[in-house]
Amino acid sequence: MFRYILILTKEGRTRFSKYYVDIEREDRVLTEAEIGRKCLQRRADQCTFMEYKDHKIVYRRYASLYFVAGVDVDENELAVSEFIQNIVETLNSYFKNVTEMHIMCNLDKVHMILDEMIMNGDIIEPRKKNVLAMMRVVDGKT
Amino acid sequence: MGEFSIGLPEIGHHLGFVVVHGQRSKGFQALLHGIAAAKTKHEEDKIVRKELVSLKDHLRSSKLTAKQIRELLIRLIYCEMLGHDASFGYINAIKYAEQSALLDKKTGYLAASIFLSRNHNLVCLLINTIQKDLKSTNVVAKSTVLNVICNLVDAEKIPPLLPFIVAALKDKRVEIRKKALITLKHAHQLSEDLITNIDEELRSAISDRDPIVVSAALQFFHTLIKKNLSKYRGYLKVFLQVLTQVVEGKLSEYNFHGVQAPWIQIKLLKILALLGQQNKSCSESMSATLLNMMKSLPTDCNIGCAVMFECIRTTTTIYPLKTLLDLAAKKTTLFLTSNSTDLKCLGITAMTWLVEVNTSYAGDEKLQQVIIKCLDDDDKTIGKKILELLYKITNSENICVICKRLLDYIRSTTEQSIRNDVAKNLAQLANQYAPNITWYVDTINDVIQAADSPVQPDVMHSLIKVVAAGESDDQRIIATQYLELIKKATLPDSLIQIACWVLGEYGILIQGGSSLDIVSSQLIALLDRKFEDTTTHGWIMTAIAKLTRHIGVYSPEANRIMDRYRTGFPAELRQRCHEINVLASDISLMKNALPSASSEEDIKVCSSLSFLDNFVAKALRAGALTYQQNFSNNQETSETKKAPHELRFEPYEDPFSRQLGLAKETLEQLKETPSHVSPENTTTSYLEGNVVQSPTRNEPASLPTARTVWGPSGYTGNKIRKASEGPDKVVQSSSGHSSSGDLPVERPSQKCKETTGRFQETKENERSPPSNSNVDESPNIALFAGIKPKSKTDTSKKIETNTTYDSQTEDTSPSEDLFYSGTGVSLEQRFVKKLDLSEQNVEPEVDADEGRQSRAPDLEREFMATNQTKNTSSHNTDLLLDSIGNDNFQECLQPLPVVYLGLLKTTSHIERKGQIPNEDIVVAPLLDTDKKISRSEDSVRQGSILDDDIEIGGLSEAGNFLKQDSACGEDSPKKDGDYKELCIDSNLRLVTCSVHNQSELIMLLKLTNHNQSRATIEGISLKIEPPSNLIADPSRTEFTVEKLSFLETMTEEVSMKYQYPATRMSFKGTLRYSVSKNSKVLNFEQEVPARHLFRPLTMSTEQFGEKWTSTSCDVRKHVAMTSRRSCEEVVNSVAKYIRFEAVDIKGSEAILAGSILGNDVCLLHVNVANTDVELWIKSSGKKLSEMVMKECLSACDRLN
Repeated sequence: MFRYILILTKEGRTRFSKYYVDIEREDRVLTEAEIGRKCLQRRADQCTFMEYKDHKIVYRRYASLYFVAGVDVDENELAVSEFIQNIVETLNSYFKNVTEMHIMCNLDKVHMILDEMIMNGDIIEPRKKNVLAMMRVVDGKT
Repeated sequence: MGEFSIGLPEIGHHLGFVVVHGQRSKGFQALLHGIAAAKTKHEEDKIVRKELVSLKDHLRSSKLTAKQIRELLIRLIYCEMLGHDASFGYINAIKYAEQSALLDKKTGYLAASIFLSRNHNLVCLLINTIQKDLKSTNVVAKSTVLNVICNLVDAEKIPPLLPFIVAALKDKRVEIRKKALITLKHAHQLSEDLITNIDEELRSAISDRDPIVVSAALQFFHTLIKKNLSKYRGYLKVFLQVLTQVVEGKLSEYNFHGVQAPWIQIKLLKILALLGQQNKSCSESMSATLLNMMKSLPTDCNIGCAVMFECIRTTTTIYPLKTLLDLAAKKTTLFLTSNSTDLKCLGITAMTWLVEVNTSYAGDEKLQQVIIKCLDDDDKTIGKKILELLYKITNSENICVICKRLLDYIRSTTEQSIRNDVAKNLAQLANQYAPNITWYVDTINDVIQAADSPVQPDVMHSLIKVVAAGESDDQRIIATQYLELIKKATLPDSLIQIACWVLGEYGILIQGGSSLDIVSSQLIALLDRKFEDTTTHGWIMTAIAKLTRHIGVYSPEANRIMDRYRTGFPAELRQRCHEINVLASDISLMKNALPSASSEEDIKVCSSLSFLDNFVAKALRAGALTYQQNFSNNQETSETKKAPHELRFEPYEDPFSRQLGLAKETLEQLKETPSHVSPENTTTSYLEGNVVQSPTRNEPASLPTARTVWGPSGYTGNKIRKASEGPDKVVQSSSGHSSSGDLPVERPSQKCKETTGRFQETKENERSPPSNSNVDESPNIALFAGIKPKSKTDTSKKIETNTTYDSQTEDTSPSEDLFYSGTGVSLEQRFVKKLDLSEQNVEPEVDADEGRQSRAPDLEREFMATNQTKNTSSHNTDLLLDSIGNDNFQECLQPLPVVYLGLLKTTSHIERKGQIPNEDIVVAPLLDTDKKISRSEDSVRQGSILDDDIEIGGLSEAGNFLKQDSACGEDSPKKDGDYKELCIDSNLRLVTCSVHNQSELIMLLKLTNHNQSRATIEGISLKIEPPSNLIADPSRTEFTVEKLSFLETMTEEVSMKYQYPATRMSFKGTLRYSVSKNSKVLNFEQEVPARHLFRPLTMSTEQFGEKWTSTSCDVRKHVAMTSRRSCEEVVNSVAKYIRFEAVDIKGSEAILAGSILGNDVCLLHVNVANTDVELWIKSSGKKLSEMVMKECLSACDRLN
C-alpha cells in the first residue's frame, strides 16, 4: 500500500506531496526533509529503495526531481519503482513533456491524475489511456 | 538507477510560465516565482507567509468569481503543502465543493481532502455535499466523491453513505464500479462491522467483465484474506483463472513494457501466497500456473523482474514444492548476478527466503562469492539485507566467522538502531550455535562493548546462566578474563555488572596468591566510576559481599566502603550496604545467606511472607495497628464491568454504604485500640458532608446509613451540614451561640449520643420529599437546613435576666471564654495602672475595683457587683477621667448626670502610650447579654480639653450588661461610628454617639461648655428630632439645662425605637443657648447610618434555613472587590460593620442574621468567589432589605 508520494527537488524542496495516511502537517514537513536528505546522499549506483522508520521508500530520479513513494514493508520495491515510472509517463503524456514547472503550475491537475491512478493507497488504474480520458472530461475538452 | 526511458527536457522558467500557465493570475505567478527562486527553506517560509496574508485578504472580499476562488484554493494548497497553516481557508474549500462545474467541484474536493483529515471536525460540513454527489449521475462527480470518501470519511460518518456505495457497485460505468469497490474496502478497513454480507457483490465483482474492476476487487480481496483466510479459500480457482488469463495475454490494454498487467499479476501472486501458505492442496493447485509464469516472464525489463521477484516470494511462502523452488533458485541467481544494484538487492532478499526453506540453496559457490562481495558493499540497504541472509545461514560451523562479520558490521555502522538490532541477533545466534563457553562469553563481551548501548537483560541472563552451568575451569578462565577487563577505563554498565557477578561468584577460583584481595581492591576501585545505570553500584556491593564471605573476614576496607555508602545515595544501595554490614558481622550467617555456587538453585519465594508471622503477631500484641486494606478499588472494578457502550441509568452505588461496610470491619479490628478514629471515615465524612459515626463508639451494628442527597430527581435539598473547622477556628459567633454540639465530627467522643439523635432526625428529614422552593433555592440554603433546631437562643427572647446570660455562658465557646478572660485580665491591669495614675483617692474605687476584678473570673459575679456599683458610676467616671492621663481634667471634672457606669476605653490610654490603633474593648461591668456598647474612636482634637475618648456606655436600665459584640471573633470589638460632633461653636460643643441596645437605639448627647472666657452658658435648650422611622419618647426629646459652667458637660440620651424601615435616617435638632447676654441657636443634623439599628441575631443554621425559605423580600447584588479575599475575612468585616451575627461560614459561603432593634429579622447570605462577592439579603420588607444592602455595600467598600 502506498503511504505517500512526493516529488522533491535536488535541493530537497517539496514540489508535490500526496498522502494516503494521516500524518500531521508538521510531521510531514520533517519527514519530507529527511527523505530528501536521504535520497540526496545516495549515489547513482546504489539501490533506489531503502528502509525508513517502519516502512520503505522507493525513489526514482528524473532530471532535477526525485519521485519518492513511501510504501509498506511487504511491498514489491521494483513494482513500486515501475509504477512511479508509469506515473511519470502519464504526466508526460498529459503535459506534453512534463517539467518541474508543469508540476508546479498545475499542482491541482497532478493531484487529479494521481487520484485516478491510486486510490486509498492501492493501484486502481495503471492504464495511461484511461487516466487521460478522465482528465479530458474534467478539463471540458471532450 | 538514473535511467529512464523518457527524456524530460527542462524548459527555462520564464518560458515555462508563459507557455504553461497563461491563465494564471499575477498573484499566483508571483508565488510560483518566489517559491522557485527560494534557495533555502527560510526564504520559502517568508514567501509563503506573505502569500497567506494576501490570501486571507482576498478571501475576505465578497466578490470573487468561481475561477478566482479556484485559484485561491490552489494557492492555499501550496501553502499547506509547504507546511504552513491555512485553516482560514478550509471553509472556502468546503463551500467550493458544492460548485456544479466539474473542474471547480473537483478542485473544491481536492482542497478539502488535502486540508482536512478523517477526524477533522469540519468534515461533517462536507457530508451533505458528498451525499448529493453520490446520488448524482455524473461520472466525474461520482468518482471524485468516492475518492473523497476514502480520504475524509471515518467510521462514524460512513454508515449513511454505505447504501449508496453498495448501489454504485452495480453502476453501469466501469470507473464507478472500480472506485466503489475500493471505497468499500476502505469502509471495511475502518470497521469490519460496517460491511457484512457482501459475498454476492464480491463474487460478481471478481467475475466482472472488465479487468479493471476485477483488479479493484483483488485489492479488496487481499485485505479480506489477510484478515480471514479460510473463508476465501474457495476463491482460489477464480484467482487462478484470472491469473491465467492475464499471463496468456488476454489483457492487451494493460501492457506495460512488455508485461501484461504487471500489477494485477503481482496482486494475484500475493493473494495466492496467502492462500497457499501451509496448505499443501492449494499450493499444488497453483504450482502449475506459477511454473508457467516463471518460465515465461521476460527478465530483461524491470517490470518483468518485479513480477519474477514476486513469484519467488510466493514460491517460498507456500508449501514447499521442489520444482518451484529449484526454478526460483535459478531465477535468484539471475538477480544476484545482474549488474543492477537493485536487482542484486532483490536477489539477496530472495536468497534469504530460499535459505529459510532450505539452506542448501546457498550452497552454490558462485552465489557465495557474490554474497561475499556484497558484504563489503557500502550501500546500507544491501548491508542490511546481507545481514538478514547471514542470520539465516548461520550454523555451528560458520558461527565464528559470521559473528566476526557481524561484529565488524556493528563497529562500522553509526546508526544506533542498527547496532542494537544486530547486537541482539548476534547474541541470539551466539547463544544458539556457540562452540564453547569461553568463546561465547568473549563474543558477548565484544558485542556489548561494540554495541555501546544498554543491552537487553535477557542477553545478560543467558550469559550468566551459561557461565553458571559451565565447568569450573571455564569459570576460572572467565573470571580471570573479567578481572582483566574491568581494568579498562570505560566499560558499558552491563559489562561491569556481569563482571561483578562473575568475580563475586568465581573470583575465588582465580589462582594466584592474594588473588581475592586483588579482586576486591579492583572492585572497590570500580566504585569510584560513574555509571549510567545506578544499580551498578549495587552489583559491585554484592560482589564485594560475596568476596568477603569467601575470604571469611570482614576486611576493614570493605567495612569502610559499606559505611561510606550507607548514607546518601539511592535507598536501595543504602539498604544493601546495611544488610551487608549486618551480615558481615557474623560470617557464618553470611555463609548461609550467600552460599557459594548456588546460582543454579532456584530461589523459593513465599509470597505470603509466612516466616514473618511470628514477628507480626508480636507487634500486634504490642499494640501496633493492623493493616487496613483499601477496599474501594475492588468495588470500583466490579462496577465498571459493564458493556462499554451502555449508558448507565441507575445511580451509582452509594459510596457510604461501602464506607459503612468498611467501618464495621474496622470496628471489629480496632476493638483493642480504644481511641482510634479512622481517618478515612472522618475524612470521607468531611468530604461527603455526611457524618459517619466513628468506629470507636460501641454502637450496635446498625450504623446509620448515609443520607442520600442526590437522586434521580436531582438535588433533594435536605443537605448535610458539617463544621468545616474546629470550634476555635470558626470565627463566627456561631461558635458562641450555636451549640458546639452542632459540630459532631470534631467531637465525636463527647457528642456521640446527640449526633445519633440528630442522625435519626436528619434521616427523617431526608426521607420527606423535598419542597420545590427548597430545590429552587440554591443548595446553599439547603446546606443550612435539615438540622434540627436546638433549643437555644431565641431571637425574640428578651435579654434581661441573668439566667439567659448564664445559659449562654455555658455554651460559650472557648474562644469567647478566652476572650473574656483575656480582656478581663488586661483590663484589670489597665485599671490598676489607671489607679496608679490617679492622684485622687476615690472612695468608690474599691467597689469599682471589686467589680472589675471580679469580672475576669466570673462574669456573673461581676454582674452582681456592678449592679451595686451602678450608683457610684458617676464617681467612677470621674476617677477614670482623672486617671486617663490628662491632668487638666482633674479640675474640671464634675459629677456627670450619668447613669451609666463608665467604660474604660483603653484605646485612648493606649494611644497616649504608644499609638496602638483603636481597639475598643468593651468590658463593662454592666451586664446584659445582648446589649452592645458603642464605642467611639479617638477623636481627640488638638487643644480639646475634654477627653472625648471616654466612653460612656451602658444604659439607663439597670443591670444591663454590655457585651462586646461577638460578631467578630477577634479581640478588638466592633467599632461604632465616631463619636460624632453634631455642632460646635466657640461656646458649646455637642457630640453624640450611639449606643446600641437590643431593642432601641440610644443617641447619647454630650454638650460641653468650652468657651474661652470661661463664662457660663445659660438657658440651654436642646431639641431633638429623631429620624422619621424611629420613635423617641416624646418627653425625652427636649432637654433644658439652666446653666452650664465652663468645662461642664451635660449628657442626655435619646432612646429611639424602631418603627419602620427607611433608607435614610437623619437625626436633627436645635440647640439654643445664651451666653453673656447673647442668644445663639445652633442647628444640627446628622445622618444615622442604618446599621446602628441592626442587632446581631442568634440563630442556628437550621433556623436560618427555615427563615430563609419563609421570607420573600430579597435583594441580591454582586460586588467586585479589588483583591481576592477569603470568605471569612469578608464576612467578618461585614458582620462587624453592620452588626449582624454570622450564623455559619462554610468555605466560600456564609450566612448572617440580624434584626432591626430586635424586631424584624434580616438574613444575609454571602458568597465569595475570588474577587466577586455576592450578597443576598432577605427580610420581611423590601425597603428593609435595601437598607441592609446599602450597609453591606458600604461595608464592602470599606474593605476595598
